[in-house]
Amino acid sequence: MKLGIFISDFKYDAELFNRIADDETGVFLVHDGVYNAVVEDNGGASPLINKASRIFVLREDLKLRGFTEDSVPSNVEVVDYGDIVDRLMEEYKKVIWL
Amino acid sequence: MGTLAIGILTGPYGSKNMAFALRLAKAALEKGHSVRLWLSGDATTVAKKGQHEYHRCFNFEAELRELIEMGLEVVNCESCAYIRGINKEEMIDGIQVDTMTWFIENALSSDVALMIGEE
Amino acid sequence: MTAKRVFFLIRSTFKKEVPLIAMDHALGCLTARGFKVEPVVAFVGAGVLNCLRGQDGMGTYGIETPEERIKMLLVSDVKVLVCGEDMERYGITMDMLTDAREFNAENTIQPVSFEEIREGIESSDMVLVF
Repeated sequence: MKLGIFISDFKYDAELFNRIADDETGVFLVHDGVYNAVVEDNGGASPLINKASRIFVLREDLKLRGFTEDSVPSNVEVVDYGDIVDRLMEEYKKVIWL
Repeated sequence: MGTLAIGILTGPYGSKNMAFALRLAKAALEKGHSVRLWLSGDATTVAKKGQHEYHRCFNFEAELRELIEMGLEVVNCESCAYIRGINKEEMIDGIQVDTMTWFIENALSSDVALMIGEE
Repeated sequence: MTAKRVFFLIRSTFKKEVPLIAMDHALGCLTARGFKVEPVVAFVGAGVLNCLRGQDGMGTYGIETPEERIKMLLVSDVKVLVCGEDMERYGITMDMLTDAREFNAENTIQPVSFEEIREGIESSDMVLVF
């Protein structure tokens, strides 16, 4: 069963994430987690962006923090709450919050 | 249609975790799913009646009332609420009280269970 | 009836109520109706510090400690795992881990690799991170 991981902080628990995530993991960036999709880390994308197979970022939380969808890398999917519900019900039935 | 169980430990107003949980619950209800919300730890304080409207702040009592009207099942952890001095009669109408076993049983019988296990 | 396995991953430390709440949920599995539930509790990261022997809640603040809650898990035959890599990282040796021998419990905390914890996460019906 594919694992979904919610990340709600910019400075998230990267150590645990890296230990758990595999090539089927889906990542949901919400709250301050959205910064990982749009803020550079030492001149490059957040390490997280290249780690998961699919990355979703919550549109509302992106907009709330002053970012537009244009600032999101092409491998990150911008979603709303309804999309997250669909992804959970259809694809990531086992899900954790880091 | 499926069932989504959400557990949360985070206090309501010091973080935006509760706002997320309630918005996820609303989206699932609007899609026709059943949603069970389990409040534990400091999250139990969101169940208290009498939260005030304040200029451009969240009002979780109003949100909970709307979601309960939509069919959200909300259960408060008995011991966590007791420690915090929140009695059943002080809780928003429609919120139930039960033990942690309730959450385990209901999370396991749901299609998806998400525990927001941080303060 | 096949048991449903619920995996509790605890990374929070002493300051927070979270480790106690996590373990209470694990104990709550034992009285579930409609399912046979097998809880597994795993301490990872700094969460391994919850497993230390000799915590003194009564002699200080008059409160219950994670150690006492771990003893309850052990007495109740709940599988309790601790990440061996994190034990080594924080200088924790086997003799520093608590047990429940005073209650005649043979069940002890089991140091395992994180890979084994990962396998436990994969094979469980539900994972709760605290």
